[in-house]
Amino acid sequence: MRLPCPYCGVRDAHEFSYLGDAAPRRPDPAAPDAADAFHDYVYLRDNPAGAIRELWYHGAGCRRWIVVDRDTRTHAIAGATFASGSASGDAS
Amino acid sequence: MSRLSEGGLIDRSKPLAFSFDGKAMRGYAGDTLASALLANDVRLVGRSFKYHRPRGIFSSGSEEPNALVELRDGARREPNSRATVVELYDGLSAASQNRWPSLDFDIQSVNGLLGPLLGAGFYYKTFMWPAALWEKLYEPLIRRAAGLGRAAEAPDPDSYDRSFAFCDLLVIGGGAAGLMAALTAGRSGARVILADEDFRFGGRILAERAEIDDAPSLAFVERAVAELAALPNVRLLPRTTVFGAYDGGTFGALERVADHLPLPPAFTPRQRYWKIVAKRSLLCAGAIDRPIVFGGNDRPGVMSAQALRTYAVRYAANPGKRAVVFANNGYAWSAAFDAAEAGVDIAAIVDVRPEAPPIQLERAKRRGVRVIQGGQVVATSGRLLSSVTVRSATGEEKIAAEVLAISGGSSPNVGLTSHFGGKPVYRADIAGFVPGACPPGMRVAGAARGDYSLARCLAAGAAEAAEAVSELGFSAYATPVPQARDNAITVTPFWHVPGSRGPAFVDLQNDVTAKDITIAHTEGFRAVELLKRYTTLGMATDQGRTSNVTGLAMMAVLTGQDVGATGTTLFRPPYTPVALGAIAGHHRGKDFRATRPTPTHDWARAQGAVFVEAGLWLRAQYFPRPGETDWLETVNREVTATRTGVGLIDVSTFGKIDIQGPDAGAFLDRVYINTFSTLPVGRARYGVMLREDGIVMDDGTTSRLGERHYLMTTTTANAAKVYQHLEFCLQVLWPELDVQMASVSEQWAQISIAGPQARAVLEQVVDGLDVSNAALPYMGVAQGTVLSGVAARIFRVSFSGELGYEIAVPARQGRRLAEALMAAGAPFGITPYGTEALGVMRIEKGHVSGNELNGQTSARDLGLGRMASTKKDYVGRVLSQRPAFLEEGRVSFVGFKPVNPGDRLRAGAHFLPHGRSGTTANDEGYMTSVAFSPLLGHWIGLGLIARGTERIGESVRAYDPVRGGDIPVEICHPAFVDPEGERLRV
Amino acid sequence: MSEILSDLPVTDLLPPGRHGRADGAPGVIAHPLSRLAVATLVACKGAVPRITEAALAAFGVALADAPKVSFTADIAFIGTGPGRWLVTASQAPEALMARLTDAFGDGAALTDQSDANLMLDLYGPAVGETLAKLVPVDLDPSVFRPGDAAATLVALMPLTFWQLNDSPAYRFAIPRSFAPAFLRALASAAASAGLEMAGPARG
Ligand SMILES: [Zn+2]
Repeated sequence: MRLPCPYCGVRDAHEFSYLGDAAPRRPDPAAPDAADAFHDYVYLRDNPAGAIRELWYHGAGCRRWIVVDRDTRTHAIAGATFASGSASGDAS
Repeated sequence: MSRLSEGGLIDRSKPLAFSFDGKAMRGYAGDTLASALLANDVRLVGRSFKYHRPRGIFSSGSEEPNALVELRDGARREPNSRATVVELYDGLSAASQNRWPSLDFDIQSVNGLLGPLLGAGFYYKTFMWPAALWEKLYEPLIRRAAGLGRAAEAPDPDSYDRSFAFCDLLVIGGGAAGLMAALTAGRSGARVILADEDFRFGGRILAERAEIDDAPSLAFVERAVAELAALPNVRLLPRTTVFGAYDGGTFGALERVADHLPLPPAFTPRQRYWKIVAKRSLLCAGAIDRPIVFGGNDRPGVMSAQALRTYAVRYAANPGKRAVVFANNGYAWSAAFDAAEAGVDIAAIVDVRPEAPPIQLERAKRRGVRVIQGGQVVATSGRLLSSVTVRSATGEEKIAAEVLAISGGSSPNVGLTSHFGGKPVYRADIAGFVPGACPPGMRVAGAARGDYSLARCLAAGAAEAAEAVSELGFSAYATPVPQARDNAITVTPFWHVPGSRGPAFVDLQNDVTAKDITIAHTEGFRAVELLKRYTTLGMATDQGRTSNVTGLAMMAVLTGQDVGATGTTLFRPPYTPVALGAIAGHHRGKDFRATRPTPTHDWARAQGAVFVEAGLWLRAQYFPRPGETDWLETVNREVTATRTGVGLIDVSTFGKIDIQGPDAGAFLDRVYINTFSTLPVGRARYGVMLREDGIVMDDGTTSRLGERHYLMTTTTANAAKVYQHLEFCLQVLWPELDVQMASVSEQWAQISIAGPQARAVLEQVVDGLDVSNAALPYMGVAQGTVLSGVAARIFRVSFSGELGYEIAVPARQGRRLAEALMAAGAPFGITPYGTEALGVMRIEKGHVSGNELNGQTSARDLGLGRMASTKKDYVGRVLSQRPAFLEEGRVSFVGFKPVNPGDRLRAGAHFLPHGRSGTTANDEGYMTSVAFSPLLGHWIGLGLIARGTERIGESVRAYDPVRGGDIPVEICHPAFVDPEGERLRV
Repeated sequence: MSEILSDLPVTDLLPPGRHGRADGAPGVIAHPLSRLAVATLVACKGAVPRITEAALAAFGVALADAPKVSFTADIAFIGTGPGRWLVTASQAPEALMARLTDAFGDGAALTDQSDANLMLDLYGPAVGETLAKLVPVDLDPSVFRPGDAAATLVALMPLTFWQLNDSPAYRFAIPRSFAPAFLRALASAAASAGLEMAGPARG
């Protein structure tokens, strides 16, 4: 598989580490239901057949976390953005 | 000799000597082993997989199911080489396989008599009971009886290369369609790779007598190849099989760089594995002839019609004295005519169709070839084929023939198109499967999609390539399509001659018969994927390229379904077998993976160190001295010397992460369970970080070098993982934090000195830096220079429990620092020690390490719970408070010592209460680390046991059934040495 | 594996001299640089414009926030990630750090990396075919040009390289502990063309 890193360009998947679904957000640790929310955040994942936005880490390249739009049925990749949200990837 | 007197694409001026089963023979440059064997009258080439039946050469290509041989000798011996694709070279030696004592007389052909036992599903039926006999009797028996060649027993002496390639268009197959495609794309300016598994481009043109633009078609091939070779944007890869299609336009290909040479020339690999990334691909892989199933269809001399034509026309090798052609299609007739013109005596064309097309009949008549319409071959005879029995409207007739050329129609080579799960689609008009959904960016042209006409192949190659490059933004060059004339080919589906005599083989390589298909049907294994596994149809190394379609069509007949609805099994990579050595490339032996030396490696080697792998790192394990008889003696000396004087160890392998920025302190507070924002500048603190699920991820000391500048250390094993985790926290969890990270692991060599004399040694290498207990207290950090001007960072930290310092200098100064410390420490008997002694001392001190940070333990389990701040959130905090982690009976980290001081402890032993049996229900925990403590004079251990901290002094069993251990141990405090930490602070 | 590699300890750097094919001119020349100061420069949050301005003012360099090399005669900035550069200059490490600190102040984090890498120039008539065996990045002149940089995985080792000119020559920054393994992989890949290892590599 080849992934389009927004900084480095298209690279072989060997250069990346996979994390999984990019949708879960770290819950508010101070919320009264934090224990349940964290349980869901850490353990519960959807397993869609089709489009998913997922986190990959370009560890052998620019060391940016990116969000890849991928179809789990075909491995077709629609695009990728920096996970930090900024267009430049200047997270720091 | 059966070499035809003229013609062929062999170079008669270059004779080549070779041997088969020890017998000397001659062939020519341009021969394959198969064509040379046929030219030398060798018709019996091997024995079949299961029944040891004599077999000859069936095909002329990579689909060959029969003619598998052992090629070369000794360390280079390669079993299961297909004689049909082995290019002849001078001195080639080949041997038949799966026969004993000889090819002519194979004692195990008696298996043929046991045929009924080895039929469909025999693995599942015959050897079911008793199960105990599988390992001892059945499997060895089957392995001896059924088999292919023998692998070489010595390491492969040759080298293998791998290479990356990128292109706009990958053209797979260099026949008529492929050449036109490459020309069109090449002329359009696109970057093109043209790969063909053959050693010569041209595909079927090489074996057919046809004209292109009113000249012999070979002239077209030669012109095209010459032009392509001259185009800088085209790469020609002959002898290269594209064996797999993968995601993102990636293809695996195997180039046989030197397989056609006696030995690879110096510095030349035998094979090269290409990883090709192509924006578009065009499959022009052609089609192969498919057999018809009838009794005796495996006899040496029975071959495909295409093979007969190829041997006669391309190789000028006559496969036998008289040939009968048995077919259901016009293409086989052309093959017969071409072979006849090349000099083969065609005794008859037997066509199952009652009425062949008039034009074919006329051509036969013109050549004086006898035609039997509405005929079927019902039997063959001869150990090597000597006659065939034909049944027709006029009755049965025996015709003398050494060759029976058969064709049940063509099967397009659709393999690569289904590597993404695309299902081939049945076309009744050509009685064959053509590509269904293709991998993204792949097109198909020519015979590979069922277009068998030469004229249409030429046109389609150009047209598909033009479309492909247009999609990429090139303006496609309008390549004029050369003219070729061919007759329409018709085919009438026909699979199996009913009522024929003798075993009728469907899959020649796996010895699957028509009867096996019937059994599978009777027993309910009717779906194609079940049929495949029950009968092993198509499961041999050829992936059933000559057998799948026929087998499933026969099943379709039995079930009354049409062939299309029955479907095919899936083809998977590799298209043809690939040597693992080629995929490994230079990553073998010592180069299997990188070895990372520490900055002091050469120095340690000079000191006689024994090294140990720690991940990719090579670290000094211990430093034996003359006279020491085992490693434990050495380690005991190193530990004692360090605890009583001073020792030295390279700790450069720890991960070192530079963390800067206004929010650096706040960031560390969120990733560690304890607080770092309050750490004073010039101080270090031990930190523990968790995963979000509450399990400990890593530990280490982090120092504050400046107001907004920290330096984190990680364990050796987790350096990359922690860095990735920190990047995750910064980029995904808290992108609002202003923090900058950089790995400085490679920049700094770091050497630890420990022991009561450590300060005295340190004082001699620093450049006037005050390292007194007051100026540099325990957990203090100093920056300055050592060795007259070398930048250094000095950390007063300790893993051993002794007064200790870690001194960091730029990596290239590491060796110098080690030597200077050794010189400075000589009066104190400074002793270099390795990871073993380090391990002993950390166990004596009760520090956790990798064995305890094992992905199952919480900070509380490890006795580190009190470090956790309650005033802030951090990764893992919420889930570390889950009830299961806080349970009464949960394990805790404690020490263990043998009740009988002479007993040896074993890591991995499980703890049981006395008097209880060794069952999971009684399991209370396990020993994580053990060491022999030279200080205490007995073995000591660390481990996790239920409610351990409350049970200090209690005795339990350390139960180790794997190594036969079962001894009483006493639970104790984990720090065996200096539990108050007084030595650290002196 | 060639003779030299089977005899050479895996932890040793490939010695200077000719390796692989010995006849004719070497296909690849590998030239280690021992006196290059190297640092990482990471822009603070939102500070890329400020860093870019400072680079122009202090060094006359038009800094690109991309995998490109921005350089003048005496300093080069190689983009390795968003807001992140490797800086190289032919001077003492302390001097480079001082210049960078002066130029960027607290707008960026700086770390000395002068000892962290083996810096290696590769060139020669067969450098393209040799790197095709090692580098999983398309180096065709229509795609990768002088001034382009890439951080990638070579023979399972993470490293950064950039193209110096269109001869073509490339400069590799190989993490120091991976240098012996990299040179072994290079020697294998360049064996058919002949490799001239200029020395000394260990500075
Ligand atoms: Zn990247």
